[in-house]
Amino acid sequence: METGQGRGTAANRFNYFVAAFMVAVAAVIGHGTFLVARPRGDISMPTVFPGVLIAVLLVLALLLVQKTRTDALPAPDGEPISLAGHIKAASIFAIAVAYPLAMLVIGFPAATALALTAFCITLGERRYWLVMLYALAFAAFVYGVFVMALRVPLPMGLFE
Amino acid sequence: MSFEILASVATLSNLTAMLAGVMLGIVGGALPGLTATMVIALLVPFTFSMAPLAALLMLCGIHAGANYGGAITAILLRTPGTPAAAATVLDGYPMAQKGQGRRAVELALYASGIGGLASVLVMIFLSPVVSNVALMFGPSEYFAIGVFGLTAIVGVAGRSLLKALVAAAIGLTLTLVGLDPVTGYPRFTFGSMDLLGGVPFLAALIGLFALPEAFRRSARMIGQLREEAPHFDNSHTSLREIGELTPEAVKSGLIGSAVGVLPGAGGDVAAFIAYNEARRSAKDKSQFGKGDPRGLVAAESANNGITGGAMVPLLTLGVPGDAVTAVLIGAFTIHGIRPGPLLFETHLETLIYPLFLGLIAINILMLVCGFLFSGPVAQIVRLPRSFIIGGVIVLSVIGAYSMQFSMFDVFLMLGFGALGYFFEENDYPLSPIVLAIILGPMVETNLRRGLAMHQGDALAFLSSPISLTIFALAAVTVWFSVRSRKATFATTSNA
Repeated sequence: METGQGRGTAANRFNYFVAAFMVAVAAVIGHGTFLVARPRGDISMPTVFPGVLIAVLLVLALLLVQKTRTDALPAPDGEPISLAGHIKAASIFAIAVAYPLAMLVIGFPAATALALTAFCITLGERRYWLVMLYALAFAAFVYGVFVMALRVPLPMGLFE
Repeated sequence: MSFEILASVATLSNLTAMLAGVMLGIVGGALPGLTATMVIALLVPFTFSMAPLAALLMLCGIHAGANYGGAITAILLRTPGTPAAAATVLDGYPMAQKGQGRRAVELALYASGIGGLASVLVMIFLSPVVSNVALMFGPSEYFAIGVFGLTAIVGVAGRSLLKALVAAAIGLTLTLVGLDPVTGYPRFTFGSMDLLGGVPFLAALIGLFALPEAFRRSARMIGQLREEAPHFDNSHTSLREIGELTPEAVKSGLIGSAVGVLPGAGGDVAAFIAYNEARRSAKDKSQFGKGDPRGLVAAESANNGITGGAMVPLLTLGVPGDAVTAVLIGAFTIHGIRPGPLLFETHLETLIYPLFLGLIAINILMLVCGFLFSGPVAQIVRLPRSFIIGGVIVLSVIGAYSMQFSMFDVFLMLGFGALGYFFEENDYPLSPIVLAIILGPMVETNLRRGLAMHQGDALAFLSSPISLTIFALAAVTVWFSVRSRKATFATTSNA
């Protein structure tokens, strides 16, 4: 478990990362707005808004760094997520990424049932019969609503 | 309003949509972790094939239902189903501890209905006035309105205004992607055809509002699979008590409506302001915080009073007042409706009046559904969390895909989900990103048009009395939001 101080340090690192990201984004906007070849001086003033945005990003990044260095920002509220928690969230994210990819191969109904089973088991549910029942029922429900009622052409993979 | 308008609302499809919306809202609001915003974002794809009016009525039904549903678990489990129900806990949970849980839920339902109806009346009277004024607007005024809308960021900022501004800046950056709104040149698309239309709004919406909470709940789900089972006792309220509390409910509903009109002040702020006002004006303050029905009614009436109030800037100016209306504005756009003053010219009898009537019907339906189904809904929180999380992610993926049948949108949505997870964990609010995505194009387009009209003279934006008034209103709103944020945090920390 991270301590409050540890949490503050992690949050500070994240703030620095966000500030660096904002500077990088400002650089990309600057390059795309002022350096690539396209009309810039016309009456539609295409550089005005991106220019203002670059200034805003840089000022906010500076403020973020300054406030973080002086500990002027409130530390995040509540208990921090533990490393095991982050790993669990990452596993759920990985299943969420695999789910649409699986849809393209085995089709949406089977992929949905499999993904739901994987989500439930990863999250600690051990009543396998209930998980299977839920996964099949939910997949059938989603198929009925989206494919049959709303006519959304969800991928059917090999069964197309 | 003619009989034809009434008939256009009272169709089977519209009534079914309203009923489904209210029920889904109550259930979604009652489930801890599902907010009104999240439920609406998840269910927008279900409305794609509906007629615009039915779709909007369903989404408004979800909004009203979720605001009430949040009270059920706030009262019975001390777990606000939605942030707006946080003030409901103060007196609702002590009532449940005294064995008056059902009475408290009934009072919350009644107060929600009164607050909702009061706010609809405010909306009906205020919207035409604002839209008439808005018809005189040019680029300067619309730019000012966009800035006014961005002041909502202060209200949804959470604990750090700087982090909210950072989030908003990132949202504004995303609006640069796609075709230049004035010249039509592609910009920042990095050669991708998928980005020519800009960052897909629904993917951003679902990714930012639905997924981060699901990931965070997963991360915190170690050893606890189910919520505690709520106890729904047999206590009841009485007509006499309802009569006695009606003035408090009406007053708080009007407070909620007034707060709702201001950008950024959401249901939680309204509820705490009304709660403090109820406590201030009460002769006997000793029972507040210990199970006083006046506190419960004030908080609930105000958080439902927000529903109509927040619709005023949305319908008349096309400006979202909070996260929920930001989602609603997206839903309007998806259905080909552009909110703003012209809507009152072009869709008055086909959309605006039916929507007004529909909102009245929604609040009545909410009273009926809440009375009949609050008990069973209270048991739904016993659903295993893993089922809810899995269902939310599956609906998010399918919802993102359904908009343009594009896997690009799905993976972008997942990317927004990951971004939201880290942002929320580090106290960066997500609503400013969505508000900025909605308001960015409005601000940019009108800034450039205004500058072009006035030969690049930026001071011209202050020369119009209307835009000057709007800028002044924006300043007042920021001041009000900062004050009410402080009051809200003070009340929360004292409770």
